[in-house]
Amino acid sequence: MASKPTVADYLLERLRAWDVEHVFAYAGDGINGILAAWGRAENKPQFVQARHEEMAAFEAVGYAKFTGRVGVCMATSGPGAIHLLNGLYDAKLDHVPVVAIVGQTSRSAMGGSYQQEVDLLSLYKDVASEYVQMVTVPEQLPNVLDRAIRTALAERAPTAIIIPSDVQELEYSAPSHAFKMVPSSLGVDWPTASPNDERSSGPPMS
Amino acid sequence: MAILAGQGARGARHELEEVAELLGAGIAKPLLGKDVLSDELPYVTGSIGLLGTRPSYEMMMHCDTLLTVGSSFPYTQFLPEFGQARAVQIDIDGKFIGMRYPYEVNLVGDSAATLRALMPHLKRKEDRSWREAIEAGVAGWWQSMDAEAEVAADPVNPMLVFRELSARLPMDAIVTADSGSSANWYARQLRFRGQMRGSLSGNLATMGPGVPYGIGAKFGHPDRPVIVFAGDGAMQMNGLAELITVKHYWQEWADPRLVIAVLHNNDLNQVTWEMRAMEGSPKFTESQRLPDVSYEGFARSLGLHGIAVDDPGDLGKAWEQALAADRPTVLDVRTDPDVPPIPPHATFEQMKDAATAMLKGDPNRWGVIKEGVMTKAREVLPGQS
Repeated sequence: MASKPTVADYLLERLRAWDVEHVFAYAGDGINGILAAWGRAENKPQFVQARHEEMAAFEAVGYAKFTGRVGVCMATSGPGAIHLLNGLYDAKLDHVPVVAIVGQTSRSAMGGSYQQEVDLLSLYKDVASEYVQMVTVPEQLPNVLDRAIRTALAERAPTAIIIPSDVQELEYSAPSHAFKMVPSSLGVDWPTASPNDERSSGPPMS
Repeated sequence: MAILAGQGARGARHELEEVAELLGAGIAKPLLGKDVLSDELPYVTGSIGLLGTRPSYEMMMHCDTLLTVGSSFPYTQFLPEFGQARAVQIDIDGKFIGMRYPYEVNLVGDSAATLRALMPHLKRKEDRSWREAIEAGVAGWWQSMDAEAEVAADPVNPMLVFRELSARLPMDAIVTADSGSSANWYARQLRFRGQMRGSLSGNLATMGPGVPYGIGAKFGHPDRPVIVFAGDGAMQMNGLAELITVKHYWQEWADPRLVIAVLHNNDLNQVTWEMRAMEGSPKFTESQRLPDVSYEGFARSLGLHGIAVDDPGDLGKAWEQALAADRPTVLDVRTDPDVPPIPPHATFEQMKDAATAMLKGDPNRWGVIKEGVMTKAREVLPGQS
């Protein structure tokens, strides 16, 4: 075990802090760093192993539909991320909050037509149109994950975060109180929206 | 007056009941809203649309007012004619409000809070004749559904699989259905009540979510019984593989009951019927016929409970066994592909297209004509069997 927590260790810690208890997922070498962290984290949140990434995504959708909580699914880069898509579209069309966490090839190989490298930001641009981001340095992580979760809940939609495999293994470093840092916080409380008693705007009734 | 209550109305059960009571309205439920209100309420007309009920259809065709709450039900042809009704929509999301119908007022807000804000402005409808007509239609419809499920088939009428479960559903059950004819019978034959929950792939209508939704439900609510309806097509696409996930985890669930009911008819039945009704095309065997697989045998090979049913008389007992089992069960029912998922309002043109398809040499023609005529007769003559 690394002496200091990695980005992957912190990812799981942050999911626990959001009360995420299950992640519907499938292994692959684009998320090996996260799988290793899972071993160190005594399987918390629980890694639920589907047979296929699309099924993992459906399980996250079903979980979210029946609990009202965010569903989380995870897959490796390339084929794993591609397999998630149909389940994520199911979430998008039925307005269900789901967060997909997917791997990507190492930063050093990106753009090199590398093994299992597909342009995930472009591929996910439609299905995760509400929020899709790649974490390229550790300081980004808490905010990107927090926004993915909050946006999924706020917009009742799937969101996605992409973490290159070498970033997963970097030592975690929190955003600091400095220029170009984006610290973040946990949780959110929603209002109960109700209409104005008098119609104050909008076109007149016909 | 008609109310359309979708999944966004889930937190507004009491408010909807109160508004419907005040205004003498009926309430139709799109597929994703099936668990929003009890089907035991006499003025709930049930599902709407191609998989809908006749009372929902009649209500929309004749109402003069429409209130849509938390729904983006996409099929405008099942809503009132333009100009027929004055309409108001309530939705939590301003990005999705105001479409599908020319609403006069679009209220963005929480469905319960918005209905509560409206209530002081509503006057009780003293003439209850509209409401009474809806209730009579609903009572007649459920009689028709019972009668349709009782139509003899070869070997098991798929509607009977749902009807035999409906009265036995535990009050805290969670039900999922795959896309296809499973969704049809889920929409029209199951009567939800109590705290029952249910869902399916409402808008993407993808094949394959039935079993994994059920697994997601078990992780979310390991103390509640879960029932999945899936066709043999969906089982072959991915449901069988996902039974291995069930085998892997079921012993972690406080209540191990997960029942997967398979409509085993060796046919991609919904599309076979759509081809007949919409295209006037006979069944194309190469695309529609499925290879035969023993779903209960596969389940037993995984150490799950497997029950095969090919006699309608055994269905009730099979459900009771599955709902009392100490582990997940696959209920493998040999259903008749010739029972037509006829829409509630099936037009003469659609019936004619289906008939034309038959005359063009559909391999199932004799069974289809027999089942179709007998089933339709039950809708025309409620209470007859």
